[in-house]
Amino acid sequence: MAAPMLKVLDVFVGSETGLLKGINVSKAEWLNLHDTESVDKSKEIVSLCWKDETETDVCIGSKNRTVTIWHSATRTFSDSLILGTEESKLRGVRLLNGDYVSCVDTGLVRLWKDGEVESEINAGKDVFTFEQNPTERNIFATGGKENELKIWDIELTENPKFTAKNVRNDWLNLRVPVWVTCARFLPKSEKIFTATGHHQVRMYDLKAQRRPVLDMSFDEYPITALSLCPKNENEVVVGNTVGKLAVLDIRKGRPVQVFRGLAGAIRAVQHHPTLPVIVSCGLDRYLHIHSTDDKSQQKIYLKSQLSVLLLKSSWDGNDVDNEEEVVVKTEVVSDEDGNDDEIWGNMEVVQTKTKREDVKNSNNKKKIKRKQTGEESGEFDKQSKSKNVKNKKRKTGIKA
Amino acid sequence: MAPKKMKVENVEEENQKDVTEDVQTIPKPNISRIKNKILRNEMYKKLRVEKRKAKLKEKQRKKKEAESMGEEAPPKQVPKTIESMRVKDETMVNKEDTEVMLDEAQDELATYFNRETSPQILITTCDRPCLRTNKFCKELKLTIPNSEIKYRRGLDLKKIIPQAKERGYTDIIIVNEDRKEPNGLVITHLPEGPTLHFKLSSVRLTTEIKRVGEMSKHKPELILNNFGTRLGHSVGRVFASLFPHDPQFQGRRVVTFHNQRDFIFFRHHRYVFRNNKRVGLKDLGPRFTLKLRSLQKGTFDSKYGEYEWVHKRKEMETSRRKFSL
Repeated sequence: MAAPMLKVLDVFVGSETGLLKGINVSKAEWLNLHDTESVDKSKEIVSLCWKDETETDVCIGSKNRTVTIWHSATRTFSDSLILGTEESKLRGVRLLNGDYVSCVDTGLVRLWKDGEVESEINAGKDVFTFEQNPTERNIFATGGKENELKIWDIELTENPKFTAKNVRNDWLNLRVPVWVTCARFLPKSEKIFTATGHHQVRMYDLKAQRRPVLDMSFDEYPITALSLCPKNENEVVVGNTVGKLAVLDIRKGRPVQVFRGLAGAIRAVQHHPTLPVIVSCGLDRYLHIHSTDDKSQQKIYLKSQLSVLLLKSSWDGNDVDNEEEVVVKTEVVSDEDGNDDEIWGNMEVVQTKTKREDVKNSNNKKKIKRKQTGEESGEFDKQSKSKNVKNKKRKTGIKA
Repeated sequence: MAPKKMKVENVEEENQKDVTEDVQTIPKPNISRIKNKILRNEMYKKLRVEKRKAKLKEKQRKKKEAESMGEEAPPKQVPKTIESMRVKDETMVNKEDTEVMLDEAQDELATYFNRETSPQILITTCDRPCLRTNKFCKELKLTIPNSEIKYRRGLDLKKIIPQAKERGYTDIIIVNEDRKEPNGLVITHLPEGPTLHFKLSSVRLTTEIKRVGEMSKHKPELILNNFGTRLGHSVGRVFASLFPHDPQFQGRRVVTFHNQRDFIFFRHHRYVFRNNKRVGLKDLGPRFTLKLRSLQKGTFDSKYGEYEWVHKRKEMETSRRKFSL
C-alpha cells in the first residue's frame, strides 16, 4: 500500500475510477486523496487544473459534469458543483478569475458565475479538446471530430476569434478528415499546436493563415496526448493509443527522441516546465517519468486506469533536504577516524536516481576540469574529498 | 550431438580424478574417441545405464537417510524454475484491495458477473476459411455452450458488431488463419468491449488426439489458472464470461485455461471417478495454446481503438523471468 502520509505531492493524477491520486516523485510513493470506497466509474476525472497561480488547490472536473476543489492545506474536498443538467460528458473545466468555464462534448462552452450561466458558446458537436491560453486566460481553444480548431474569446462570445481551415486535399484529391484531439497554446505568442486522431501534429500561427503553418505525421495510431517542450518551441511531446511516446521536432518533421516502457494508450503527457523530465500516464495504470537527458525512467503503479495529469511547477522541496543530508553525512565520515564499521552500518542508502547521476556528472566534470586546469570548485572538492576518504577507509579496512 | 559428447567428457574427467586418487585402476576409455560407431553407441548405452543406476542409488540413499533422521531431515529441495523465480510483479491483485476490487466490479463485464446477462456467442472466421479452420470452429462450438457459427461472407467486423449487438450476442469470437492453419483468435465482448487478440498455436483437433472421449452437452465447469496480475484478471474475466453460469456438475465436463509463462493452454476434460480415492481424466479435445497480443478497450477497432496493453517484444521481453499475465 501507499504511504498514508506524504507531505509533498509533486504530481496529481485523475483516474478513470474517479479517484484523485497524489504522487511524491522523489520518494516514488503515492496516495489516494479520495476515499478508496468511493470508486465510481461514472465520476471519471477528465480535467485537472490549479485554482490559482499559487498551485495549492486543485480543481477537479468529472465526466458527469461535477466540479470539486481539493484544498492542499486541509486535504479536504469542497462540495461538488454540477455544471449543466443536460445529458453530456464533460471535456474540460478551467478557471477564469475564480469563475468556472466548462465545456461538454456536445459543444457547449459556458462561463459560470455563482452557479448561473453567464455566457454560452456553441463550439459544434463532438468536441474532444478544450484548452485555455496560459497567458491570456480568457482565450480558449476547442476542436473535435469533424470540428475544426476554433479559438474563442469567452468575453466576446458571438463568433470565434479564429477558425482553422482544413488542409488541402490529398494527392488523390480527397478531403482530409478532421479530428482534433489535443491543442496547446504556445505561451506569449500567437501560435497553437494541435494533434489529431489521424496521427498528425500541426502548428497554427494565428497571425499568418488559417491553415496550419507546419504539419507532420507520427506513427499510424491516433495521437491522444500532447505537451509542449519549454526549452525548444519547435518540439512537442506526443503520445498515442498504442503507448508510443516521442519528442517530435515539428520543423524537421521527425521524431527526435522515442521513449520505451509504455504498455498501453497514453491519455496525458506533461513536460516539466523546468526539469528535463516527461511525465505520462494512461491506460496501462502506470505513471511513467522519463528523463530527456538520459535513458533513466521511473514508473509507479497506481492501480486504476489514469486519464489526466497535473504537475507542480517546482519539485525541489524534498530534493533539497536529501542533498543536505548527503553533504552532512559525508562530512561526518571525514571527521571521525575510529569506528568506521559503525558509520558504514548507519549510513543510509540514498536512493534518488537523479542524485546519483548528479554526483556522477559532477565527478565527470571535475575530472575534465582537473585535466584542463587542475582547479576544482568548492562543491566538487567536498564530494571528492569525502569520496577519497571513503576509499582510503575501505582500503584500511581490508588490511585490518 | 554436441551435448552428448560434452556429458561423456565430463564423466571422463571424473574418472580421471578417480584415477589420481587410487593409481592402481585402469582409466576407462574415452567413449567419444572411439571411432567405431557401433561400438561407441554400445559403450554409450552402457554408460547411460550405469549413470541411471547410480542416480537411483543416490536417491534411495537420501530417502533412507531422511527416514532415519526423522523430523530433523533437511527439507526437500524445491527446484528453481522460471516460474518460481518470477520477477516480482507489483500489479498482482490482492483480494483485500478495495480500489481494484471496486474497479473490477464496475468494468464492462460486470453485467455477466452480476448475472444480468447470460453468454450468447457468435463464432466466425476470416474470409474463406479452409477446412481445418472450419473444423476448429465446429469443435469450439461444441465446447462453448450457447454458441453459433456464422459464415463471414466477407463482411466487415465493424459492420457485424452492431448487428450482433442488436441480436443479443454477448461475445464474438473470430478465428483467423494463415496457410490453411488457424493462427489467431480475437474475442470481442459486446456491447462495450474489451477486445482481446491472441496468437493461436498448437491446435489439436479431437480427431488428432488419441483415445479421445465423446463430448456431452452439459454446461462445463471452468478452471482459470494463474491469472494473477491486473492484466491477467481482465483476461480471465473475459474467458469466464464466455461460459454460462451454473455448471452442470453431473456432466463432469471441465474447461481449463491454464496460464504458464504467459501462454494460455486450453484443455477440455471429463473427470471419471475410478474408485473412492482415484479420479481419472478423459481428454475431450480440442487442445490449443493462446498468447495474448493485445487488450483493447471498446469493441474491435484496431485502427482508432485505445489499447490497454500491447505486447511489445523488444521492450517487454527483457527478462525470461518476467511475465505479464
